[in-house]
Amino acid sequence: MMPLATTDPGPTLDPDLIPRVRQGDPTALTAIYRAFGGELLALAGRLTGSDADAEDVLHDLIVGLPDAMRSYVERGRLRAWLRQIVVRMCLMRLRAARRRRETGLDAAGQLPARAMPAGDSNAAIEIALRELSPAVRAVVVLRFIDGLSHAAIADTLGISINASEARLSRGLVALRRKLEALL
Amino acid sequence: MMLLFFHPSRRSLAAFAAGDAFGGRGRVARHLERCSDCRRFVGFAQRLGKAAAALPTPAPSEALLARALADRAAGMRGILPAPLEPAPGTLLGRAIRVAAVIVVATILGVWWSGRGARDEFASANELLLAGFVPQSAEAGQAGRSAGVMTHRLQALTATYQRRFVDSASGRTTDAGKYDLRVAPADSRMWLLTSSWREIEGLEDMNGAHTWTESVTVADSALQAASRVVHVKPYGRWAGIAIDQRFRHDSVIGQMSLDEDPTRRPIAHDLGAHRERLIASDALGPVFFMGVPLLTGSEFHLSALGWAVVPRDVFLPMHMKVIGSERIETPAGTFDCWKFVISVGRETHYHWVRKSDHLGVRTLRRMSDGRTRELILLREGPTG
Repeated sequence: MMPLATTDPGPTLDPDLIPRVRQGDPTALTAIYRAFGGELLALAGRLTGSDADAEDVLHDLIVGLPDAMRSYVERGRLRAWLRQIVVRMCLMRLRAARRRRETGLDAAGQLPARAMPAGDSNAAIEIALRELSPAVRAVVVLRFIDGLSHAAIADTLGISINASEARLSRGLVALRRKLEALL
Repeated sequence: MMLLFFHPSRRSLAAFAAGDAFGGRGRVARHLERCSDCRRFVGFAQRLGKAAAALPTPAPSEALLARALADRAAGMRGILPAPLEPAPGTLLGRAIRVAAVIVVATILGVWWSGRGARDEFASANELLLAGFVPQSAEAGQAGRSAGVMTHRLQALTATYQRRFVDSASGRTTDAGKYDLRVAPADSRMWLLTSSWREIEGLEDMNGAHTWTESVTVADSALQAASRVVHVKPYGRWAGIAIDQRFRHDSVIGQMSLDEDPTRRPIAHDLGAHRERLIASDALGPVFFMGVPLLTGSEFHLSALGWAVVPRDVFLPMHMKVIGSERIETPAGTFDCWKFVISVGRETHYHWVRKSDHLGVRTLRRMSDGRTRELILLREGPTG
């Protein structure tokens, strides 16, 4: 039942692309952006709960990709590799944001509540996801959209498997309250 | 019927809905045959899973791509977090990994603690101690407690020579070159890049052969936006990279090691240091450009360290203009303002030329009787 975004290799790319990305070739970076930018933007948006943060993550990814790609070993898993990097970038951002909130530096705090659009289940799901706490949202997104196991989520987030399962359960209960009538 | 009062936990129902294998799966299946409430929960979870997988993907904007490519072309770089290695599948593997992390963390803790203790002000920090960010240049001159400070950078390239001078024999030993480039990144940002080469005094630069740093700062306030440092090698490691971003009142980022998966986060409040912060070594020689100076001007400042460990976040210093001197350098002879800089128990001297306040010389007396200097070798416009 679970979608497996992490095992789908994604679009077929020019085999010379990766060496060119390592050299910082703008056309190669553009090709990566066109092939994966949309889904990475969506992933970042769902993890951070912020369109602006998601765009910052994608921007930073493109800027830093040539250097990062020097450590990439081609095994046909570029899509999963990029998604993992984006997940980690988002988590770093969330931790920094949490710290700012704890020290009172980020008055904006949580995401703005938005009106639930009637009849649009996709938009409703996106909004309901954003209204979860970042900790719960990360588990729900990684489990339901990225298809990671609880063990992999626990490793990624630095939490226990029990905590991952508990957060998914809490997330489902919260999402059911908001979405059951629509799904 | 009594079984209906003992519903499976939501966690078990979520695992069932996800198709996970777990010990109680058969019991949950039997329960669901008779419990409509739990069936609704599982049904919802399954529908949500399908709907979430089918969520549309937004089209990324061309403007975002253009901005990222333009930033790269302007020299912006970033260090991305490394993807995690696949999780070990056994408890033993997990235990081994945890033990390894503890060992690495312990070693790193000792190493980082030692970093500051060995020589806090070695290497590039010499230049840092040459520039500076007075919150109140005017305060020093006019007796006010604070003042708005504005800087005025100019596009330039400059090369400094690092040398040791034996005070007994007067013999000078060349110990490396330091290149600095200041260029506009766009209409309001400056990009400063600096690099060491021909380093010979390896022992006090942690064995580095190359030490590069870049920082982007915003217009006249020189407020930092990002800073990247890369040192190769560093101690027994192939290299180390520091990636700092400045967001609101915080510095965030990551330390990473070359050819090693170890990563450490950077996250600190700048707090009261923010208004008096020298965010990068690369700012040192040029920070006074555009700042009015007079004999007696005093500044209390903080230099930003790599911020990976608590003791290496802020480096407080006091500096004071103590007079004028004419200084000879390989690049020419200049009338200069002379600073005395107090950093902890150490005293340094620094000279900026009066014509544009570019740093031209920094001097530190060593405990072995030598002096270590950085001196302007040549300069030119940005090519």
